[in-house]
Amino acid sequence: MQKENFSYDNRIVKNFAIATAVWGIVGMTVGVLIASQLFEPMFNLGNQYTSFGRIRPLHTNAVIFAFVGNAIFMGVYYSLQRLLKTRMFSDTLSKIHFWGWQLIIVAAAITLPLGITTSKEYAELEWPIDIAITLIWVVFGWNMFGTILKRREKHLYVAIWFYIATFITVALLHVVNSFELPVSFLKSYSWYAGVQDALVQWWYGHNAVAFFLTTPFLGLMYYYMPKLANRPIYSYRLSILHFWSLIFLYIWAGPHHLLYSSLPDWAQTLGVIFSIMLIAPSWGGMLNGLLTLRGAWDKVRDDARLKFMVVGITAYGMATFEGPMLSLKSVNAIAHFTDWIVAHVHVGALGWNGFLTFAMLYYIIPKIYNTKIYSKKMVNTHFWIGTLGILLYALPMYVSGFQQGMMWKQFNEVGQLAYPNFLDTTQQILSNHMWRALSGVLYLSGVIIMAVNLVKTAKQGSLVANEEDSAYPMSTEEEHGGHWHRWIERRPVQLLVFSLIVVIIGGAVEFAPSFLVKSNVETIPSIKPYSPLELEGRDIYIREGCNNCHTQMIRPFRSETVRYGDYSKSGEYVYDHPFLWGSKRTGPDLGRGGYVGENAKIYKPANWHFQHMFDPRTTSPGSIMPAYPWLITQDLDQSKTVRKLEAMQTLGVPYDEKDIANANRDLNKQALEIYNELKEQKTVQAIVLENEIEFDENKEIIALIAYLHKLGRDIEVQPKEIAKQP
Amino acid sequence: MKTRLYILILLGLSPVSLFAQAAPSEPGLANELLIIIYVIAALMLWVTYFLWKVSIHLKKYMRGEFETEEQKMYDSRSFWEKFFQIKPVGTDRDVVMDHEYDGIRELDNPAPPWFMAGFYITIVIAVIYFIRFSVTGDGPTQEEEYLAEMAKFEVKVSEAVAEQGADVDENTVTLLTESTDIDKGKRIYLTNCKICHMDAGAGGTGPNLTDQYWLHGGGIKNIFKTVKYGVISKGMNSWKGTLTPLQIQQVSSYIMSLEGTNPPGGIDPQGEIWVPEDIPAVIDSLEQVQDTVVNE
Repeated sequence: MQKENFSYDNRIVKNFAIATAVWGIVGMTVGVLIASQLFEPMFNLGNQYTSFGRIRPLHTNAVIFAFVGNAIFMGVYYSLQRLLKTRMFSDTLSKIHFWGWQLIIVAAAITLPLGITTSKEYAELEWPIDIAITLIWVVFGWNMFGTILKRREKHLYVAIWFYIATFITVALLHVVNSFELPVSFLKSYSWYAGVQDALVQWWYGHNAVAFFLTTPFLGLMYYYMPKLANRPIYSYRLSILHFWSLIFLYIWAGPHHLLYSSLPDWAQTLGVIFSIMLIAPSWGGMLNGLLTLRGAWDKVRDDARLKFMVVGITAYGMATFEGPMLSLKSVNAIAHFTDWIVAHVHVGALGWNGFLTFAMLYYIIPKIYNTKIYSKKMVNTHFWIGTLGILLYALPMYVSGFQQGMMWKQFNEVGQLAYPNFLDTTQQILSNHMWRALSGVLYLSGVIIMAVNLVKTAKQGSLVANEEDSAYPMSTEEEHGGHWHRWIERRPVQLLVFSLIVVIIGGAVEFAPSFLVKSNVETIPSIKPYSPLELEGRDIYIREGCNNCHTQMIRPFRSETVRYGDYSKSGEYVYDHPFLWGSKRTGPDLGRGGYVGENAKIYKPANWHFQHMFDPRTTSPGSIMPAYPWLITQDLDQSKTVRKLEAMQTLGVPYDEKDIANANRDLNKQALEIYNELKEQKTVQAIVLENEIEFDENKEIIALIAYLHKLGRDIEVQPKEIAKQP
Repeated sequence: MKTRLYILILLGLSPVSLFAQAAPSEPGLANELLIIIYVIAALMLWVTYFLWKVSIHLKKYMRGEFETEEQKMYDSRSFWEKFFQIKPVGTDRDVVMDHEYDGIRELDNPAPPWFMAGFYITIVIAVIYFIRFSVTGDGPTQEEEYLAEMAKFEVKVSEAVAEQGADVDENTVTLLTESTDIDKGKRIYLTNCKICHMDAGAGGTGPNLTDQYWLHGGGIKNIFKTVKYGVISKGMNSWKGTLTPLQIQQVSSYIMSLEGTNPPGGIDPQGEIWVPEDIPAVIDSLEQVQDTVVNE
């Protein structure tokens, strides 16, 4: 048998590397901007396209799908070819994948600031972009599988198991969570409603962390760690154990994002126990990574790339221990909705994803440019600035989260809330938010130093676009014996199918009862669908991204029912396509914002909302909410109201033909009522007069007020009788 | 290994056959004896095994065999390697896998024992948790937890209210004038009311509290009532669930004390001028006096 000559495609790796660095800088710059908005509202820059609610999704999408996404593709395209001893299956598919992905990112960067969003976290992009993502993802999978099928290496290395599991699971998550009914070219409603939408969304959200931020990076670690350390992997059998247990257990843990919510207790229990069982499989990856350094720890002293690896893997270990701890209900009761969670995800994102990406870039760029790194000193500086950035981020945010969580819960000696005014708890943590923004600047400057260093490195070398290599063709002989797992390592299709089966189980067990068994969502007869005006107001709420800071989920704690009103019931959300429970309480919960019955806690009249939206500081001194003056000047777009109602009807909301036919008339009638109430108010008159605003009944603010007054309003009817129902 | 197994079985069976006949007459005693014998037998077995192990080690030590190459490698590990039960590098030759990928080799070391133990423990915890919360129902549902919390606080709050003294309502409330009460009222005001009525009662979203005009009636009784029940549709919350009756009395008294202070930035008056209720009362009593005079 003779060795065959072939070449690796390095140009595609270079392209993804450039995209990684560029989008990294963009995404982190937006991160610094939104961090600044959380202590000084001035940084919302006084226009609707840069207000927090719209660009927070831009930050998360940019760092997850643009920065980390491109880093995954860079790392995979480089390692896959070498592990399989073959060139990528098709250069054309590689190019379509690269440019398609960048176009999707550009589409996200345009639509999100325009307020075009589905509101579902990390899945905010609207349906045409969702379809594009699906297609490009298929191109990636096709290209990867084509490469695997024409490989010269008989067995698939552990890194590739992780790549395959990533591909198939992300495809599944994305398709299931993106089921939505288009209303127009850039507007759709989630197929699911309320509790079910929440369950599907957090099955997706949790596993986006698992299969976009964790499994591909574990695979990458299995390639770049031994390469950098020049040491063998510590344990093959540990890699088998933690691969299969990780992908099986991870899927189940989604409900831990919905503890103490209206999700049925049994589903919450599953979320808790699978999170606990996840500790060891997660740590298996960390152990195998760190123990690969056994006997080579002296190298860490000299090679900053290994430092990045070690800190990154350690951050992974910390985050995957903290995750299960946060899934314990008693810890979750304090930490949920606070900065603690933000700190937790940033330890993972900045440490694990960021640092591993940097190590990969510092390894790959000199390799493909056939040169040495331009400055080792700059790599070192980057490492220390980055590490300091992570520490300065995490510590103040842990303090802030714990502090605010406790303040929300604190009662005085007569059993009253110690901080009845939500703003008092916000004021306490503003200095922590300043530290957070500063740490972001540090981390970002490290990335800029890296970019300069990499550009200089590339300039001193020249790109080896096609790197020559040779290998024996794959033997066709049947193999027997060896470790039992070797069998599936020779069979990529079976590996794909098995991974799919393993990940489907958890989702299926949790979804089926929630969708099929009626008792999981209680029926509350008094809950009525949104009126046309309220529905339009809800879409404005979604457009402005209010759900990024305001929850609509009052948890069953005395500290919350005393502050916000009766705790939320699953039956209240049956017409919510999509659900808007939120995951962070930067401002107070709004779930009972429209409740005017006995013991109403947070109801505010229309003129208060008007004044508050125009300038939150006038009604709530010291508030960090952005101002929304454009809601008062912009006309409500009524052209799609009928279509929106029809779409809702298709999704099962009980609108009849009359409701739909009269939609615009009903809308105007309700708007006029609110307008007439508003225009009598002196505060409203003053704002309109002073700012020379042409205010009438067709402004967006009126729809938004109608929606806010609908929130929790219908529960007014006999809450006790509801509790009695089975 | 097999011989030991036979011995174990023999030891285990012998008491059974011994007491098989005695059992029917005195079952209680027999069972206790049986247990004791089993425990003793197990202990003896374990001690024998332990002594046997020790003697082997002792023999090796005497012969100087103890210090094998491998043992030396294990002994020379760093503290953390020992702590985490990690196999020393030199022992790897036994576990190198027969393949490599792009120059990457794999070892087949076992996972550290504590790691495996940890995995099993989390599974056991998960099973117990699941049974408690989803099978037997010993673990409380979130609604049960909530009801328990509310019940606990109900007792606590009613005790605290009782401690504060008279349980005043809008019919019995009187104006407090002690400076300690007014100060307390001011503190309550600053935490709860100033967000709408501003610092010194100048008014903002809520009306000005320093003039003589009142939307829902002035005087301590009406103010107490407004604070207690709220005017929900206008945005004035009901405070009876948040403040104790005494606190409502204190804050209402503080608000009364603001009249005529005329703070800067005060908004225009709303409502009607309030005629203090004790004036008609005075008139009433005057009329009564007149009546009696006339009658007499």
